[in-house]
Amino acid sequence: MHPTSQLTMETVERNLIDQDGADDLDLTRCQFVDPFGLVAIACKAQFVANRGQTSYAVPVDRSFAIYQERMRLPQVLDAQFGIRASHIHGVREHDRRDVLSELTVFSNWSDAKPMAEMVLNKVNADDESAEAIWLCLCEACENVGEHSGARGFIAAQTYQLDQPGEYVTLAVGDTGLGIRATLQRAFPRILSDQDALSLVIKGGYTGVISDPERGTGIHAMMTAVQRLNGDAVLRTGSQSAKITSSGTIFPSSGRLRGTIIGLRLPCIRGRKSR
Amino acid sequence: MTDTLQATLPERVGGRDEARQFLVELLTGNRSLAGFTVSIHGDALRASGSSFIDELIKKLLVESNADKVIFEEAPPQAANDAEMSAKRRGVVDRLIVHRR
Repeated sequence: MHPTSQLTMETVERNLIDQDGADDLDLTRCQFVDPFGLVAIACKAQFVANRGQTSYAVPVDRSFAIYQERMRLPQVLDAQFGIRASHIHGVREHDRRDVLSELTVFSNWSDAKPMAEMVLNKVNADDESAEAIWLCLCEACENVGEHSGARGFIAAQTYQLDQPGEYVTLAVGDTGLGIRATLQRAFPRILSDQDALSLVIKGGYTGVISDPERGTGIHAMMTAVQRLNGDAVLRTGSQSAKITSSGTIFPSSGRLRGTIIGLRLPCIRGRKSR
Repeated sequence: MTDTLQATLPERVGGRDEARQFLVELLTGNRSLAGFTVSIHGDALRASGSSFIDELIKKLLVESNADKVIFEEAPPQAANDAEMSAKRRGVVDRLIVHRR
């Protein structure tokens, strides 16, 4: 991992998924992580656990070490994969559950709904933003339960530039089939992850053969993100898509099984999420 | 003249399973809704998932063949989702959306 690495929506590819020696999980040098990074770590943990890794070195940076404990990363990695942190720092007494929604494991929307309620209750969002945040959480978690065939991970955080709860960043991921394999049930000619991502963003494509009129969830999410002037990253297999109000680009990616969706949304419509 | 069935949406809804649970009473015994108008009240609704709304449209207008669905006081996102779902499923002529 890069000596001063960050694990965020923008940097996970470079600093976690594409890193040299990708067979292990080493957070020693990590200094900053957002919910997307946490979910990516959880997804990668599944991979390294399958290869026999049973522990990981916690970050040297104390503030990040405390953050990852506050977000329950060690507990999730231990409970889900039997991967234990090399040591525990212990979090400060005052908690930050007013702004942090801890890394949580879920199986389907019904499981994830209490977490989504908690996220929405924490943000100081106007009606339109609240509607969009809920829709994105709902569709992302529903997709995990309906299509991935694997457990999902969710984490979220509100943060501020000049007002409390002004922005929310959230991530939902899984280590399941991925979008391409799911779509291939109905569209076997879809050969690349980029094609699969393009189609689900466009909308109207689903792998559910019994109900071909589905396939609007991710399109609806991305439409809402663009309407709110937010940002989104979708990554599946070996492809990412970055969606902003100015369009969609498809940067190349390292390979990670499953799908991760990350969103950064202003809680008041029209504010840029940076 | 058709009979009217009523249902009121809660504050936050999402997911296809949740839609099916919401419709359990209306669809008891997998009955056909031919000859019925279904009035869905969205006064309390604050946020919804697209999949919930799509499943609602599919169950009521496609599978149960309701004569008409009237979505009252629909919030903007839910209204858009309902109209898009009905259009995709070829039943838009039997959906009436009254936006909030």
